[in-house]
Amino acid sequence: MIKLLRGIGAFWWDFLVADTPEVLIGVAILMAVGMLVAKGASTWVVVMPLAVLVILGISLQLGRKRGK
Amino acid sequence: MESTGVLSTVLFMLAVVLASAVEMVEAVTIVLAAGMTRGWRSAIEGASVALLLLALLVVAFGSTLGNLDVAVLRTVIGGLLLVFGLQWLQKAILRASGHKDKHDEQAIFNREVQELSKSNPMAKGKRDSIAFAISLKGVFLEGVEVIVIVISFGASSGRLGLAALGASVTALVVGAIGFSLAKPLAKVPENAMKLGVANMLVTFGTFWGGEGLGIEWPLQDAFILVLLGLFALVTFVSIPILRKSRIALERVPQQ
Repeated sequence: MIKLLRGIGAFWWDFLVADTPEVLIGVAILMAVGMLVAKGASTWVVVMPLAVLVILGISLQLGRKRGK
Repeated sequence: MESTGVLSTVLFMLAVVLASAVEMVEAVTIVLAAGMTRGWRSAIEGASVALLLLALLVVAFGSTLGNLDVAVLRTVIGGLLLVFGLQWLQKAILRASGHKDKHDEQAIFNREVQELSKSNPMAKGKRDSIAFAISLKGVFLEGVEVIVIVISFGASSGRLGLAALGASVTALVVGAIGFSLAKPLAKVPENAMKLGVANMLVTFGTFWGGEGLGIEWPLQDAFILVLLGLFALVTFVSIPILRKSRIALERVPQQ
């Protein structure tokens, strides 16, 4: 049973985190902040896509450093 | 159906079909390696069980998610698509710019064949547990990524059946081509397809995630095209920039 749970945990870890933990952390922060302030805020039409691009930029930079 | 509804349906079906094709190319490589080295019966049985499990996942999660509040559903699915899409996009951009090795189906096939040939296959008529397990695991793991996309797109747009049908037909077509050629589909432009799918995942993740958060996008569904254009532009600008930085880095030790 423990082996199975470990396997499922490892699968989801690999699936959602793998070698890009910054993506999960970034998206979690974005969605959490969005839940607090985005409703009806017209600026978020610009903020949300830009935040996504910032996460991508950080991830590319880290991925580049990690190498092949 | 309104024209914007048609537009988003076409785009999400394109994403589902491309994602299914890319993942099935990888799954076919594994099943071919298992079938050619250890026997077709067990390899096909393993792949069939995996496909059955994937279909059950779609039915189970699809019906559960259908009962959730639309805003909560879109927030969760938007977040999931963003995580998933950004992971794919990062890898695809790094591969296209040479910072990461490209996916080589022929090399993967050769490696799998070498690995699977190490032990003797089971006697004729008996199930080969290694071929069965390798095929099952390979098809299931590749398929889960497609299933996440199918369920996310299907549940968010209320077109789960259409998304599942698109993915299944694509999987069958790719599988049939792979088995009729009896070699890995190494010529399929996987990275280019992944770049396209990743951009669509990030686009829909942003759009649906934003809707779930209460953002009122201008132009309604047509704003999906604006987002797609923005992410595609950034992708195609970043690839040559990153390629130049790699070349510059490679030159440093020679100076």
